[in-house]
Amino acid sequence: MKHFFFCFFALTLLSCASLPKMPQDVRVEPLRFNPELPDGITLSNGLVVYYGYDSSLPLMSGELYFRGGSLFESQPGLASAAGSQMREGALEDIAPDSLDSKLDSLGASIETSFGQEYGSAGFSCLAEDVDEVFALFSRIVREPAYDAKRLALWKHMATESIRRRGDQPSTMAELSFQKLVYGEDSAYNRIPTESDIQSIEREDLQKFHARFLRPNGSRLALSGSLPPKKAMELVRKYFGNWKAVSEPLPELPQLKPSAQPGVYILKRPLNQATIIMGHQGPPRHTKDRYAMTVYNQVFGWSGFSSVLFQEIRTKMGLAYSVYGGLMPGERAGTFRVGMATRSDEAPRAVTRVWELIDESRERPYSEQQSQEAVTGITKSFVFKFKTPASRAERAALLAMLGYPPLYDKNYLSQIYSVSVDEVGEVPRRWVHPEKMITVIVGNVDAEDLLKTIGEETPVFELEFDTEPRIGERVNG
Amino acid sequence: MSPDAGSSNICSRVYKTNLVGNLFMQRLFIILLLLSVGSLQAQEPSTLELQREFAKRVEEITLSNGLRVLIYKRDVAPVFSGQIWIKVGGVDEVPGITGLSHFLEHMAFKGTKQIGTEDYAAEEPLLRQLDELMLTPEVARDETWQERHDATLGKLEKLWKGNEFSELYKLQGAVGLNAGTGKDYTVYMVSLPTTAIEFWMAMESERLLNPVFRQFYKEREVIQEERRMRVDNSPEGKLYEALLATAYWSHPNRLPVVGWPADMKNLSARDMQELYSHYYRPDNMVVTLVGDLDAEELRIPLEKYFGRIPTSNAPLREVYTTEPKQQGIRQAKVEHDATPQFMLAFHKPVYPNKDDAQFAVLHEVLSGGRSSLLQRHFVQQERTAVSIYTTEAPGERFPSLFIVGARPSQSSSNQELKTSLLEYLEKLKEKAVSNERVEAAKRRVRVGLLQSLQSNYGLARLLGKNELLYGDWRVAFEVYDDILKTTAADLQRLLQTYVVEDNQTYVHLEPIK
Repeated sequence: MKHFFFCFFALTLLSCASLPKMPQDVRVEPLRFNPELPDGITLSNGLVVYYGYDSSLPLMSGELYFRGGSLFESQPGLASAAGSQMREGALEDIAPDSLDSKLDSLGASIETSFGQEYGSAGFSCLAEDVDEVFALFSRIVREPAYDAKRLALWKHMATESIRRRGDQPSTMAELSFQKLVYGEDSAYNRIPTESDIQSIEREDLQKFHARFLRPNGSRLALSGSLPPKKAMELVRKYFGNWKAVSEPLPELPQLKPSAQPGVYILKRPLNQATIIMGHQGPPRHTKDRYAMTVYNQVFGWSGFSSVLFQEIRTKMGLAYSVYGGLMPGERAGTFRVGMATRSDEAPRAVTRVWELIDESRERPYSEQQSQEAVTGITKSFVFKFKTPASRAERAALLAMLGYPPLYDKNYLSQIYSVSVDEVGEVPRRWVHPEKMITVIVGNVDAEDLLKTIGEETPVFELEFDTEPRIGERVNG
Repeated sequence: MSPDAGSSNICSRVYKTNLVGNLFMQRLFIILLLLSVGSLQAQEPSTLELQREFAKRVEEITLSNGLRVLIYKRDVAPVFSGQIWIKVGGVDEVPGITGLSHFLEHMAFKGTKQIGTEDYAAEEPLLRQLDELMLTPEVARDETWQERHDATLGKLEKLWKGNEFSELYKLQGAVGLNAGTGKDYTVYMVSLPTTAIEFWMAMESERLLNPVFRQFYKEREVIQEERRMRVDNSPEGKLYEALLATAYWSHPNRLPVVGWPADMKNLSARDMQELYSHYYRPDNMVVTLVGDLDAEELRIPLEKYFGRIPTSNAPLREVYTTEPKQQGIRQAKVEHDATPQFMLAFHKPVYPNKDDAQFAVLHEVLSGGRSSLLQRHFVQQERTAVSIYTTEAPGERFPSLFIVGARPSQSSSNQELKTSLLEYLEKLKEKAVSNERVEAAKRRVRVGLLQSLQSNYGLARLLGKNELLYGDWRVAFEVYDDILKTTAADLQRLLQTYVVEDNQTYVHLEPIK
């Protein structure tokens, strides 16, 4: 019997000390996890609150999301000013300098901003200070003073930043691309000028704030070490009597036509060309969203293993940074590819990307490519739920952006059910070579480019002082 | 998604603020206690207490080959972060091979003898052949050279399996697959679901043990693109490169981590093999794992996978070049197609010098937050600067630089702003800042730490870096003690000691005329 035990023990040891396996041979058990997000609690004024309880650290933080942004502004720069000045301009009874000192002394922060379509206000602090900081946060959101001196400082800084737009090739490329793709005077393309900035008044900010900040339709993601009951008490105390606004929010503005498709060259004495190409893209809510996610993975969103990366970086050695795909937006997003390559190789790089785009439309990706993308997406899904805070924020944002309530619950099965044919259909439906606008910022000669890409593609000059301007057409 | 998504390197700078920001994870009860006492009268816990609290959760395993593994269990989600730290970086290079350790970091994603190839036995002689061909000077390359080159490369390309190494990771749900090279170290990192822990051990030990530097010459082009993006076409990058080359005369901190252009073009596979063999060894590495993992269960498999990395008897090369004491202002001008900005830098010591920790407080007082001294004076009140910051670079193993950088507004200039900034700092030498400011700064440092505790990645980084650079992750606590003891008089002394003319380097960027 003793003998038997010894043998058993020895065998166990032996199997533990088995030879190392090659990664491909390691058996990885499927991960079981529940993609669960916190339920929203709706206050009587319509504000929906999501709480992520996390007792591991004595911290509290939150993010309030609300509708409104530059898509709805009457003058360029207004949303940006109204967003930053909500916090910067402090409160009637607490001047900006005092608020700054107060928060800095607590190691706390409150930040506010408007994006294109929605805005957000966030705070973070030690749990012990949450009553004080959350009170300030709610007042900043509800009754900002929009201090005139801070607005003057903002105007000064905004003007300075306009002057510095030409410092970075990536900024010039991005602004040019947005302007060309979304067209002149479009709400989807805002590039404020100095006079736009100077014309913004305090009353404009107050009106903009009053138009959008309201509990109904807004979502608050809160997380931290306060017990859930206490956290909700805090929310009710500071946001419970916030009055709902019945006036409907404005409709999204109409899209405008893009500039003429073609190549736009902004010549600069740089040894590397920054390139962005693309066109207007899909809306946020489309039945193609899952197939699009898989397509993006294969095409250019998945880092090392994407087709773009493999070809442009690994095989050709043409770029350090290269990425691309479909980015949905509420009404219209973008299809875009971005890269940076040495100026003399720009024609070859651009041509090769165009070919890869054409190929993705003509020859659908293989079953294996599609399957591998699906595997990558589904296996990394768990990372979207890695902390209570990320879960609360995800819940708030998905609701804010109008995703269906069971979106996450059904996500994996939806991705699994994407067929290779559906993936193949994505670029045919959403990627349009004939609409492609290609912006090149660098030391690239139009004549050289035409030799590579052929005379039929329209090529224009771009100018950029503090904003992009379309110059002469070079050919045709 | 950023344009760099998925790229294999990150930063060639190492900012001290990052280190401090991650220093003291997870002795939460103590911090909680400490903070609840109130910021001014807080009773500071001793280093010993902190260590004890922390040591309960960090498992240290030393493998038979001397490799140190640190494991920290955190079970908020079924995922983990794994990092491999290697003590080799820019300071281990000399002119001629600058950029080599960073290039090696890129090549560590190209696969192994078994990953990334159809048949290594067939590939290996071809790789050697290609290396030989590429050693032929460009002037000596004729048509037959080109033919032989194309033929060899053609055969190799048929054997190569794309980015199989990264592809395998993707198939297991990896996120944050990346690596970085600084002056002092190289680090490889990735996060995975916990069920893939053995897979991770297999992958990482395989690439440490059997890396194959395939696609070498294409990747050499890629790192040159990286340099163009980060340095040549970036005003900040250009200015920073000039700063290091000006502030340091002899120490290798003066060399760019990404490499000098001419060196990069000529980096050879032979040199890379040599660098790899010398530095990628168990006694020069640290492995960290943070997540929903059980250290006891990992002991045997860790030995099985990482224990096979061979030891080396060759003495590790030391960096013996030191920087002689600076005697007089140094300066350089960079012309670039951009608006003006400048950096002022002063040599400063690093750990274990006690002054090092106090700089963390000085940074907060000077430029942390909207109410900080420099922000308020130059940006908000005088409006002579559009931005102003302080930081530390380039490394942590050897004496580093305290840097104040700024961009003048249109109404000012580099020269004017620099002059008034120096005058302002002179005044701070004469009259110490208020205790209130110092205490607030210390509180912000502490809160910053707490906030950085939230990620597996951050904790893995804290443990790995301290263990690798200082031989003990506990060093973090000593620094913490010194930070909390800092007074207004200490900050005054720092300025008086280091922010002096003889120790000053001034680099400025001016628009091309």
